[in-house]
Amino acid sequence: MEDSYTGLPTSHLLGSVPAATNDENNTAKQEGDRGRGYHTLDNPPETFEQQSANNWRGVFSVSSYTQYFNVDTDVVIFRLISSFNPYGGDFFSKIDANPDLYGLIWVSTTLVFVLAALGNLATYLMQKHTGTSTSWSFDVGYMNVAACAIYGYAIVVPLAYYFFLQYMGSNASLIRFWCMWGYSLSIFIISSFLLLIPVEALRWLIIILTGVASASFVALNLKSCIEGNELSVAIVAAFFLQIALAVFIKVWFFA
Amino acid sequence: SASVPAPPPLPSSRPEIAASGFGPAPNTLTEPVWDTVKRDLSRIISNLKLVVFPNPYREDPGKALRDWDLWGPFFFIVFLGLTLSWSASVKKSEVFAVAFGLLAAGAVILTLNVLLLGGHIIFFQSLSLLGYCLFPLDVGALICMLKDNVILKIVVVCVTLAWSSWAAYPFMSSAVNPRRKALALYPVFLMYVSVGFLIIAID
Repeated sequence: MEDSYTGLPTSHLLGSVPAATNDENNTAKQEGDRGRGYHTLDNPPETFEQQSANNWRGVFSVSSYTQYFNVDTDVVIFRLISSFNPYGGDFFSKIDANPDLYGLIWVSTTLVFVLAALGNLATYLMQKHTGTSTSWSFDVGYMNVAACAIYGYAIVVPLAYYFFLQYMGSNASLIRFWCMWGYSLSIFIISSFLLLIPVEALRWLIIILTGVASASFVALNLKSCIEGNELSVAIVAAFFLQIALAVFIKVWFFA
Repeated sequence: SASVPAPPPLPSSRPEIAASGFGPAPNTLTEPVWDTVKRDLSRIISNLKLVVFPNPYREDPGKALRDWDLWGPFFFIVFLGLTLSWSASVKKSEVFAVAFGLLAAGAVILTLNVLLLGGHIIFFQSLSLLGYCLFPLDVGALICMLKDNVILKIVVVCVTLAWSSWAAYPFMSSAVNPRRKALALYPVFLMYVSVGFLIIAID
């Protein structure tokens, strides 16, 4: 298979990513095993990284963005599982060398579909349970609301935090924020299945637990990334934004 | 006196129009409409047979859909949107919009996903293939529209979903690095499951 990128030898030194450049969108490095990808099956997942030539070939060229999708299946699964753990606080160090946007895009897309589908099913089950009506009606508007809400939240909130932190002088990385917030939504996919149970009190319990877990994941990771006490308001705000998303999901889709 | 011999009579003896040469006949612009339609239809059918039904070329995806086209996918997507829209009792146009948007945007996004993961495919060939793989779901949607029984719908959709996924699998999985196969295949599966759910859930 032909190699359309200059393949530089992989550096196996951890911490070889320099912090010198602010403008990491354009100088992000994602070379590595592209040409040897089929053969090197024993590389540890997080050491693809080293500083290499600028891969940015323009906004409209797909190859400029492949650097943000340079992950394998096991890496993605590892990041998904670590997003279920609310106490870690070390997510940024796990993704530092190789943040990916695959998680953001497909976790949020899965969540949109799951909310639209299971929201309809849950409404039907709740109506059957309380005996008001037993006919199935499918409201396709759920899809629109789900898409706007989830995509809007997942894209705008990290963007806002990025701009806010840049303004406050702290060095933030938009891709890492998008990556972290994207993976933080994955726990809602599981809880959506649990929210099918048509018992109102149980539904609230589930969503509160999920919301708190997801929000503390976001807050603890944000705390590990932001130094300084003046920005702790931002961390608290992130916590409550995630809780607000959880409550919105419950109220709109699983009423 | 030397007279210029008459040129041998050709089936279509007009001067050649230097347009794109889609096929062996140079004057596709001047042929009867029925010939064009028949040629496109036969290409659609042969592509369909290559993609959706078992055949010896399946393991080599590049060979399988060498003569790709976009008419087939267009018909299948529109047909699926129309079928879902007919099956719906309320918000018919919104259902069509959601179905069409999901499928069309989905095909583009799935192709981009493979390209972003470092895979090697041709953009339009992939769109074509994903469109052809909708054929089983079209059949399923038609059956579900005609017979409105939930259990039957679930069974039909599961069968056609599995068929569609089976059709798309060799192409998508061979396009990327084997360590990323699941990352490329999962979105395809997600799209087909969401379409399948729409088919079952439309009342």
